[in-house]
Amino acid sequence: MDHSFSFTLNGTEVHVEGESPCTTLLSYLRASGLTGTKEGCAEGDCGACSVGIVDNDADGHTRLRVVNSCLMLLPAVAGRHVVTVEGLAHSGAIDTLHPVQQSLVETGGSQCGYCTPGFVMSLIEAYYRDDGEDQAAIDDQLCGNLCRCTGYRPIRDAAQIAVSTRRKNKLKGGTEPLAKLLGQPTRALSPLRYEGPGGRFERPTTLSDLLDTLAAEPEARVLAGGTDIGLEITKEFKHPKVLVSTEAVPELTELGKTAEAWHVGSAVTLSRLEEALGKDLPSLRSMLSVFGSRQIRNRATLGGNLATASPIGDLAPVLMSLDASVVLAATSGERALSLEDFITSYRRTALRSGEVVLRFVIPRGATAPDRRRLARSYKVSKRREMDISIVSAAFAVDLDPQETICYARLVYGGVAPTTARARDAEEALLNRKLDADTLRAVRPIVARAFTPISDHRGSAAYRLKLIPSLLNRFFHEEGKL
Amino acid sequence: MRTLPGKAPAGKVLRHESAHKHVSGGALYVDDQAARRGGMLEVWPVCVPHARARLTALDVAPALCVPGVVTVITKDHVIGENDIGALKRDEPLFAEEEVFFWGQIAAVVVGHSIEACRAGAARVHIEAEPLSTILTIEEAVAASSFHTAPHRIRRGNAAEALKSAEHTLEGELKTGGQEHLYLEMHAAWAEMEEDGSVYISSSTQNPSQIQAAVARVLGISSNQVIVESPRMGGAFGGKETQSHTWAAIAALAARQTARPVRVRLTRDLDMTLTGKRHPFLARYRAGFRGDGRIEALEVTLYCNGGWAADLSEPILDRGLFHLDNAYYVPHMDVTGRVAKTNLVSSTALRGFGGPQGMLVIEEVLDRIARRLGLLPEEVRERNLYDERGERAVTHYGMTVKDARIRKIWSRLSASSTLAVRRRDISAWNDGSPHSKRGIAITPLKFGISFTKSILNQAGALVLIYQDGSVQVNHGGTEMGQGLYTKMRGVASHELGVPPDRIRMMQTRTDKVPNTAPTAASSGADLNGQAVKVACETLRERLAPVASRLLVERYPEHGEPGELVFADGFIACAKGPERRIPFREVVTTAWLERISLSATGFYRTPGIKYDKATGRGRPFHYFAYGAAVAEVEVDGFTGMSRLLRVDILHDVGSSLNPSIDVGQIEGGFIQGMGWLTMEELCWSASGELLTRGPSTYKIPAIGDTPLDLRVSLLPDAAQEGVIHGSKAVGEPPLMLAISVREAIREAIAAFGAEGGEVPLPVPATCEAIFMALDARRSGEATSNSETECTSVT
Repeated sequence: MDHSFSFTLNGTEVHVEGESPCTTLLSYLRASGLTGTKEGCAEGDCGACSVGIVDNDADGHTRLRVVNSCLMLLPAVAGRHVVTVEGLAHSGAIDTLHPVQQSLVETGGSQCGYCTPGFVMSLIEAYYRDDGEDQAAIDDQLCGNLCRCTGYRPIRDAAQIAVSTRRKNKLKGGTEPLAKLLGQPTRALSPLRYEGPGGRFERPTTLSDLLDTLAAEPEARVLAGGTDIGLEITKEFKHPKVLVSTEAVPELTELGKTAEAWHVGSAVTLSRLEEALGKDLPSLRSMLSVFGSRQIRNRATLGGNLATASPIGDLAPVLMSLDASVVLAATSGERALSLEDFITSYRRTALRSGEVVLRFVIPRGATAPDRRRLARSYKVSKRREMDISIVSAAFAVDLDPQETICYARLVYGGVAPTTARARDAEEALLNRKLDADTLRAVRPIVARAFTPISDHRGSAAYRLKLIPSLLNRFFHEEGKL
Repeated sequence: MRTLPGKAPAGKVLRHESAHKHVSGGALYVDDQAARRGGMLEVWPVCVPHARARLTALDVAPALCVPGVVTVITKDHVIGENDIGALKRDEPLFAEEEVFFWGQIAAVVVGHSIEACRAGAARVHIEAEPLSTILTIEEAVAASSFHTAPHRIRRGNAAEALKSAEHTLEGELKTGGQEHLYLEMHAAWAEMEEDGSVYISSSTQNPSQIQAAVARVLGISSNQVIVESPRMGGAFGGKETQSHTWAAIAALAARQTARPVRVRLTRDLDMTLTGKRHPFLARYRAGFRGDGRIEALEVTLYCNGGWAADLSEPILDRGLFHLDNAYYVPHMDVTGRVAKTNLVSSTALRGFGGPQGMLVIEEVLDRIARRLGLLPEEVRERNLYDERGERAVTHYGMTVKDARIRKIWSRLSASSTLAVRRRDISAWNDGSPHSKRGIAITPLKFGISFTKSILNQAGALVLIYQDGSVQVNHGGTEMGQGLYTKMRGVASHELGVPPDRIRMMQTRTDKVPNTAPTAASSGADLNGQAVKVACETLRERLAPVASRLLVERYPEHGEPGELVFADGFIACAKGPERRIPFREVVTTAWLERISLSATGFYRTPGIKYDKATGRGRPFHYFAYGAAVAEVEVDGFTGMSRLLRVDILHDVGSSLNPSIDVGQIEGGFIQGMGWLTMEELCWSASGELLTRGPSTYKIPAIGDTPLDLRVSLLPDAAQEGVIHGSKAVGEPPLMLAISVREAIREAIAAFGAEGGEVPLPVPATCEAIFMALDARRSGEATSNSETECTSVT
């Protein structure tokens, strides 16, 4: 067991010891006097705590990723490079500001200034990204940062200035310290077995070490990005005694495709997945576009979202509609399950003690070569970005050469204790055309498929109306009604 | 000797005074100071989980056994008064025999870490006997549970006018509360000084009132308490009275432990324990003519004040004063009362009751338009205040003297091409069965001044040092609204000193005493005048010195006469090439033993209001504006999107256009949040369920329209206000009423023409979907049948 670890903070090596493994990066930074990073919610929803960590993208390139430091446990940054708002400019003087900081000053992008360091860090990620200059990309980049003062217009303007400055600077070859840092390869994460007051944090780097650790520690909590366990710590004040991180295990972070399917390691972050998908799996991509924030997707993983088995997890309906399967691993060997069999009941899965999710297998296209796949996903929420679904839905149908439906998955979130298929309605779709008659026949069936509940997000009555309404939308968008 | 500032106000182009610190992380907020100092004790409150209960036992001893806990503070440790009430003494700092809202604090655990304090708080033993509760306005009305007596304002004879009216309608409008969601939660830290004095750093809009409250709680005099408000990470009214508790707890704990103590709320605690915007309930009857002109309006207005009076009375008053918005109503009879309930005490939030009042008449006018089959903008325009005569007098008897509203209305209608776009939208809607667009214009008239007249006063203290550099102190606090930047501009203009030679000092009660809270949009109006007065005094003191230096330097010109202070020089008005550097004059003045510091004081003239008669002039002037909003509503889900907004707003002659536009945009988006997505949800037992941004949704970047066109009314200098400017903090929030009305237009388009379109506040996706679904129904099923059979 180690009683200390180190990481690089704004270019300087720091040594950590005597900290609880459940200490968040945010509280560590603030206690260290780096008070530019703020707490606004401690639940990953406001972005005031955003910092950058150096990471790899889907192609193995070094990237600066913006993350919520309120949900990032300190041992998770062991061996990494962390950049805070204090690490960008040489001093507070206006002429030494980073172009991103300068752009916010110029546009009047700060009023009270409390959210500003978080916006700066999100914009820093945008600044060093190669993609995303259009408005949608900028809004997506910034949707995890709340500002209550400006109404966002000057921040949008600052983002535009920043990305155009990036273009200009790129021509000159970026020479600022961050550009240099990002030009170097990332260090691979090393194994960590940290013991601090109140518990342990283990980060194995091989699958066998991971499985051995889990076999030896039945009570251990597995975490990948930690965006869910982080909430237990910051909101419910729970302190798991043993945390085992999956993010350094190569088998769990592999991401690849065959002609038939995507193989996505359970610890693959959603940002990497987004980057890798390209034009593939449109219904998954559209759901990812309204999933959490950039900060969350930079840490959250496919495995985490599905292993929590939340009925409002947004990726489960999509993967289920695509007939994805899941491969589990334990010291005793591997087994594969359909996603549907994996999710057993409210927040419960088929995972056995000592077992981890290894990867997901997501079929890329229709169920047969001569079939045409139509797939869409929908999310209804009070706010478009960065919100939890009231109801989500993912629909996939395959049409045979006669345009007859030969495969149908109608999967809903937020309407039952688990992600759920409307099986009777799926059945009713088979051997029919995607037309108005079919819609008329299937609507009443899907309408009585579930008995949702009321909560602070929406009433049962609203959810009941949304269930057929979303199918209606699918027919209108795909069926040329 | 007459002295003048330069011609062009210097502050117009200044960037936010703290912008470079905001973006680099160097701007220090209250808890940043505490974190950097380190070693402070922390606290965690012991909350009683009942909306109303009798406290029968409180045993703190088990908490003291928790490692890291230093002490537990209860009402028994309060030497002075156990009360931090703002206007009334009805707000115990620690619960006494009875608990009045869910989460009320019975004790505070003080210790070496938050974790230790929280563990200690969990061990405190509380016994409480639940009592019956009142949570809603309806329950309070039924039980006659009120904080205030009725306040009635009348003009004409509404009852008679209603009887003889051509048309009448009646109804009820409920408006929801709103959480401020300032990004910085409440925070304070305190440290004892000598002789039992205490220094407190607090995230507050109201340092003077905290000073008084802490003195009361600690049983010491005000001169022993220094309160500093370094800057706030947003406030919006939420730190006008709601910061008192945390400052008092920090001070009390610091005295009890003789150690510095830091109080920082989590978001959950902040939302549970501090007040929000008042929910309102209006019951109204309106009489109107066939041309849409409103003849009579009767309104009974209730607001949910929560458990303590706080600012509810002036908030309700402002609601009553704004029931007319920008419209003339010949016969008006309105009565308001504050309901007393077992919710957390409601408090100030940008608009201060004004928005809730205005919504009522906007609702009424929309209903009138739909009843009569007229365009809502036609009906609204017909009812606008005139520029003179009886139709320019409000229901409380104040003349809308400088009525700019018709000018704004017609300019904005034209610049936004409202009429053309309405036709285009109608055509677009015909081709779009599943999503509909709507457009609407609403006006705004908002009264500027504290309705509690004594608060309309301000002070400043300006210090010039021997090297000619300047410090400016004033009573206003900085919450992001740019007050310090504006005040720097005022001082720079008045002294003729470049802004970078002027340092804005953080607001402290030992620099400027007895200040009003920075609220009611009045910060720049009041403090600007006070800073100006102080600068004028200094100019007068420096002028003789400058004159003499000018005579010495330019003996051939004789007496210099009138002096102009500008660009770092003091110059002859008649020959500006004859000038002496400001610094040189200052140094000379010091050598001649002339005082280089001065105070300034200002009180708003001519405002008074008699509540008994419902007559008077509660406001110094009105702020005006109008907005046109265009939305798109999705028929499958009810989710809406704001496509374009055009705003024309009157800020007088702006002190700083960039900052004023920032206030307009920010206020508008905050208002849009209130009206479209922000929803507070309480359990049946009175516990707040939406306690963070994960469940309480405020607008995110994607909710701001890509097409947002904000203009300031040109040539609009306002007489009697600092440099001709006008207040801008609150009014723009109410421009967002246009979004609600545009949504209503879009919903209307889902059904056949005609008929009313009821729409709850807030118009969430659920509310919109239910409204449009109702609109479609009747023909709803057949509607989708038709669509389906039209398949080719």
